[in-house]
Parts: sequence; C-alpha cells; structure tokens
Amino acid sequence: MSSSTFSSEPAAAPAQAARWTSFIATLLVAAALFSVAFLAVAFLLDPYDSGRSPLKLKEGVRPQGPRTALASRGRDPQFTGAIFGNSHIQIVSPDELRMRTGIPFVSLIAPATTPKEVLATVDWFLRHHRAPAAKALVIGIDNYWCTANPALPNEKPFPFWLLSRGLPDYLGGLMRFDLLEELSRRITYLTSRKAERAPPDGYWDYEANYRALGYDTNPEIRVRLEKRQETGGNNTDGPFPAAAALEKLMSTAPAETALILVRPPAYATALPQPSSRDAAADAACRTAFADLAARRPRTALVDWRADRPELHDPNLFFDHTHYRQPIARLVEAEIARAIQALN
Amino acid sequence: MLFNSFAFLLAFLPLALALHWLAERFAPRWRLPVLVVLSFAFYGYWDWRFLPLLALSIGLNWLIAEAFQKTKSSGLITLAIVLNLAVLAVFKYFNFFADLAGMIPGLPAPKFDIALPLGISFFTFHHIMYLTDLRCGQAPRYDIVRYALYIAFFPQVLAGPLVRWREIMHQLDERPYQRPDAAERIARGLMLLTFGLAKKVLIGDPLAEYANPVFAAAAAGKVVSMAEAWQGTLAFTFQIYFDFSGYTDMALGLALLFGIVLPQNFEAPYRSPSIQDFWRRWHMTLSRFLRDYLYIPLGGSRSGLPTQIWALFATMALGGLWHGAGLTFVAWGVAHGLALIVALFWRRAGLPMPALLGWLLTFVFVMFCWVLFRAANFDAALTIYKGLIGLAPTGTGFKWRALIPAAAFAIIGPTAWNLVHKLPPARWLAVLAGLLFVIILLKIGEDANYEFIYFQF
Repeated sequence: MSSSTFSSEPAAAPAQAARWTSFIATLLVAAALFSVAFLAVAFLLDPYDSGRSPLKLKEGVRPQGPRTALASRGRDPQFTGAIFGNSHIQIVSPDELRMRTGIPFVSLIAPATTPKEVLATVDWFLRHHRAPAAKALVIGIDNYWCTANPALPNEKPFPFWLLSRGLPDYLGGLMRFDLLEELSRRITYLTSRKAERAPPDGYWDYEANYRALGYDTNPEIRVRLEKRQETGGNNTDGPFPAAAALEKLMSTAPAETALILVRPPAYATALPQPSSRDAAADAACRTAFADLAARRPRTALVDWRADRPELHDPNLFFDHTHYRQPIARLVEAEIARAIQALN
Repeated sequence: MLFNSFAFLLAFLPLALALHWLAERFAPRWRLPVLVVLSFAFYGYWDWRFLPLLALSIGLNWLIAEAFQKTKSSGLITLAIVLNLAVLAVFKYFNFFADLAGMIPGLPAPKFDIALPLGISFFTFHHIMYLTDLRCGQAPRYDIVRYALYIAFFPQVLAGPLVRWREIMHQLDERPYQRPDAAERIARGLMLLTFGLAKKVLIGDPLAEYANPVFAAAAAGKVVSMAEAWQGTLAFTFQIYFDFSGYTDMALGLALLFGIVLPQNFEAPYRSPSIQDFWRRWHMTLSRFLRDYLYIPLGGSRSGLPTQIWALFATMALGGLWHGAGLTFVAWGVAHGLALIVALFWRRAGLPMPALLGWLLTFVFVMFCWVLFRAANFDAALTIYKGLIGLAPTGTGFKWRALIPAAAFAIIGPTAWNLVHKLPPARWLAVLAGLLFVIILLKIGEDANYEFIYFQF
C-alpha cells in the first residue's frame, strides 16, 4: 500500500469519507453494544451462582469443576463450616465432620491450588457468613504454605475474578469465551426441572479416580511409594508469607469462628529424614503455623506429618501425599476433637 | 504490553488515539512528540528497566549520525554498527558463544544471564538500515524526535515489520486526519487490527495446544509417534504463520490508526511454488533487509556463481542466527540457504518444475525446517523427524479439526491485507467486524493468553 489516498475515485471522496466515517461509527457502536449485551446477560444469569444478579434465580449450579462451583457453595447459608485446600485434604468428608461436630460443613477444596487460591476462597466464605457467623474453618496446610515467596504464585488458572470483592473485576472476568457455552448450559439448568445440580457440599472422593488409573494395583505405580520424596517445603529460614497472609485474613473473621490448621498426612517415605535440611524446613514451617495457632484464639493445629503407624502402610496411600479413606476417617476424628476442645 | 490484551485494547489504545487526535487536531507540532512518548510508555509497560537502553540506543545512534553529517567520517558509521551489533551480541548471544567456547576443553566460559530486551533484534536492524544509507548518501538527516519515532514507533518496535526510513519518514510530517481518505484509513486500520487479532487469537493460539505437548515430549526425551509428529509439526507450521502474520496485520492496522502506512510482511507464503518465492512472501521486510544489507554486500548474484553460492549460504545462516541464539536456528537458516542454492542450480540447469510439485516440495521442506526452529535441541528435532518419516510407532489420535481451517486460510486465503482492502464500507460488515472484535475480547479474557512467538527474537 502506498501512503497515497486509498480511494480509487478521488471525485467521490466526500461521499466515500462519509460512508467510511459511518462504517467506523457502526463498528465501534456494534462492538460496544455486543459487549454490553453479553455482559448484561451474563450478569443477570449469574453463570456460577455468585449471588450478584438482582434476579431471584434457582439455587446452585450444574455439575462442574470445583473451581467455578466454589462461589455458589461458598455462599450457601446452610453451611457454617468449610474445608479449604487442595487434593491433600480433598478426601476429608464434610458429612463426616458434620456427624462428629454438629456443624454443617461444605468442602471448598480445588485440586492443584496453592495458598493464593485458598485465601481467596476463605475470604469469599467469610464475607458470605457474617450473620450467622461461620462456626469452623478447616484449612489444609501442605508444603505450598511453606513458600518464602511473598507473591504466593499460583500454578494453575483460577477464577479469582469470580470471588473478587470488586464489581469491575467480576465484570471483566465475565468477558470470557467459555461463558458463551456456559450461559446456554446455565439457561438449561435454570429452566429445567430435571436439570441436575452439583452436590452442594462439594465433596469429591478421589478414590475411584485413582483406582481407575491403577494406583492401587499397578506394581510400577505401587513401587514408587517406596522412593524417598522431600515434602518439607524447602524453606528453612522463613519468612512464611502464607502464614502471615492467613493470619491477617483471619483477623477479619468473627472471634467465635474456630480455625483448624491441618498438616495433611504423607506416606512414611515423604516424611522428612531426621536432622536433614528437609526436616529443618518442615519444622520451621510447622512452627510458623503453630505460632499462628497459639496467637489466634479458637485456633488449633492438627499435625499429621508426624511419624504415625498408619503412615507406614502402603495400602492406605495412593501416592506419597494422597491417602485413602481409612486415614481420612482418622483425620476427621482428630479435627472433630480439636473443634470440640475449643468449645 | 501485548496487543492481544485488555490493557492494550481497552485502555492504552483508546487513550493513545485520543491524545494523538488532540495533538493532530489542535497542536500538530506536538503530534510526533506525543507519539514518541506513547511509544516509550508502551515499551516501558513491559519492562521499564529496558527503557534507558532504548533511549540510549536512540540517542547514541542519532548523535553519531549527527557527527557523521559534520565530519563525513565513514569510520563513525562503522563504529556505530559495530556498537549496535555488540549490544545485541551481549544481550542475545553472550551465552550462546560462551557455550560454544565451553566445548573447547580447558577454556573458561563465563555465563551472563540477563533478560533479552524486547525488540532489540528489530531496532538494531533499524539503526543499521538508516546508518548504512546515511553513509551511502541516500538518507537525509532527521531530528531526534523523528529518529526516535522511526526506531520506537510502538506498533513496530517489538516485532517489526522492519521498516526502511524512506518508507515511513515522509509520512511523519503529514496531517493524517486531514486527508480525504482519513476515515477510510482508520476503518481499514480497525479491520486489519481485528483480523490480525482473529488470526492470532482464534486460529494461531489454539494450534499451540496441538504443537506444544508434542515438542515438549520430544524435549523430554519421550518417543513421539508418527501421528503426533505430523500433528505437532503441522500445527506449529500454521501457528507461527498465524501468530506472526497476525501480529503484522495488527501492527499495520494500528499504524494506520495513527496515520502511518507500514510495509507488508506476508503474502500467503504457504502458497509459494518455490523456496525462492517463499522468501519473497515470508517476513518480507527481513528478506529485503538480508538481501540489501547482507547478500548484496557479500557479492550477491553479480560476482559469479561461487560468490553467489557463498553469499546465499552466509546470508541465510546469519538470518537463522538472528532468529535465535542456538545452533538449531543456525541449522534452520543453513537448511534454507542450501535449499536456495539447490533451487539456483535447478534454475540455471533449465530443469522444469510443475507448479503443483514445486508447491508441495516447498511446503514440505519449509514444514520440516520448522522442526529445527521449534525444537529445544537437535535431539528433540531428531525425535520429531523420526516420527515424521515413520521411524516411530504410528500412533493414534491425529487431531486434524483445527488444522484444516488453518491450512485452508493459510494456503487458499484470502490474506487479511487483501480482504481488508477489498471490503466496501457496508454497514453489515461493520456490525460483523464489531461482533468479531467482541468474540476476540472474550477469547482474550480466557486464562491462556499467549505471547507472540516473535517476541523472543
């Protein structure tokens, strides 16, 4: 293209210029209108049941991954207790905790999440449980919580916009391609009586998934359990910004809300070797959260990263950090005892 | 700042256009300084730490050009070119040469780990083009503002196109919004920007999902099946085209919005019936640079066949090295150089080449070469080649659905440039373009937001 005039008929320039000006205006107005229309529909239909829509919509969401279902579950008033974390605490059953404590629990875990996502989820839950106040929070404190990085970087995508405190963030987050598909599903869910609802308590037993992959029978996989693995978090000297961030966040929670910090079970070969650097890192991280528990009222640390007999039984583990139902029962019992001890 | 980001499309660009329009309309003297400031802001948004480098690069080269005007000492220009290449070498090639030196037993090879300043390969070449032409008496003097804009103009600063001073400088003094075709230019600029975004976001980026796992598996030493190798290689072949030509369309479209016409960079390269034709259609501004500032000075085609062969080989090998500090990039360039030499002999022998066969050979050759370009190392490339030629399990699950439309667009066309210049100012087209722009915004809103491949060069 030369830098000379585009139009092939200079004589028609004024008329052409007017047509092109109209074209630009139409393009910009169309883009603005389509954007606004899409946002308006998405905002009103509230695809993930975040409670921001002014319309009175059917409760819950269609069956979907936990990341996007968190918003709906986390604001459900029927639950006053919640479990937070990743797959390392996923198998802890909210129903079991309810039976043991009398507190209705919801599982707000999302696999492969780190402190950054958990803190956002805790904040969401607390904001939606002011009155009546949340009774108990159970948080899985795995080695991701031992990071020294103050940015608390997350590894996998997470819909922070969905749990955001700011409306602009939320509206910006609604501008996403996959919502085109999600909105049609949402309409089906809202309008159909037969539409299936995602389990409100969020519990997802991963045992079937692991079994399907041969984690309980495949000798190649089973033998991996016996290889040593360092899971101490690799931070011997601190600081522990995730602990500080959690403490700061919990300062906004009602005083009566119990907080249980769970260091999840790990198979014996993933426990730190005494006197090793891994053990020093593990101990330093443990201290950071034990100190938090000591400083905050109605807070307890449940530590399953100590050497217990159950942690030596390979039949109770799928891999180094994913345990099976029998251990989950023991963890639940200990969490329940910790909650009761705080009353 | 990525062109394919909310920050750019919904904040920087509208603000920049508003400031530029105000300057052009009410204070034309300030139009170019405003564009310079905007360009520096754009560049600094990415990593402000490299702003001084860009400013120093512009300032120093301009001062040397000024000194040359007074002294006519060609040694000054040589010094400037050497300095430019030295800065590029330090940032881009230090570790590459250190690794090569490290192969010699007993030779210490210190490492210098520093981030690569974005666009350095491109603005270094811009300096060289101007300074070389200045020495030849072809280029005039420009003031610091115009020179800064020539180097740092934000649509082109990160990944080209490589613009010659004579293609752009005369446009800087125009009143772009006073032209009779101003509205048409802006409209076509908006369409080019939209189509360029569509090419990258809707076609190029999804292909990465097909290519990346295959090349990652090869880099990890895993066996890559025949199906995977073809899928990964074809996907990258089209991904790099849609990524880079999409970027260029955006750059050209953005420049038009600010009253500047930049040169084309792509002309349906995968339609080429010969390797020579491919290089006339692929990254055209780089090809031109290599021809005029490397191939011809090395002897070109007018100093006998041996010289021409040497010039072709050296030009393409250095062109490969320019793309990346790695031997795989050099090998990629060398392969293209050898292909051009074979084609030269073929033509000189007067041998026939049916168009369809020529196209097929060219396409397959180019595709095979992209393996070297994309692979992490030679072992990974070899793994992919084994898959491509059937020295690996056949495999299953060849994903072709995204490849078919990509291939159709890339080979059959139309190109965004041609399409944009054929479209009339019809209202329904404006509505469709607006809808397409919103779909692109939605796609950009997803978590996977890909950088441009050519940002690493």
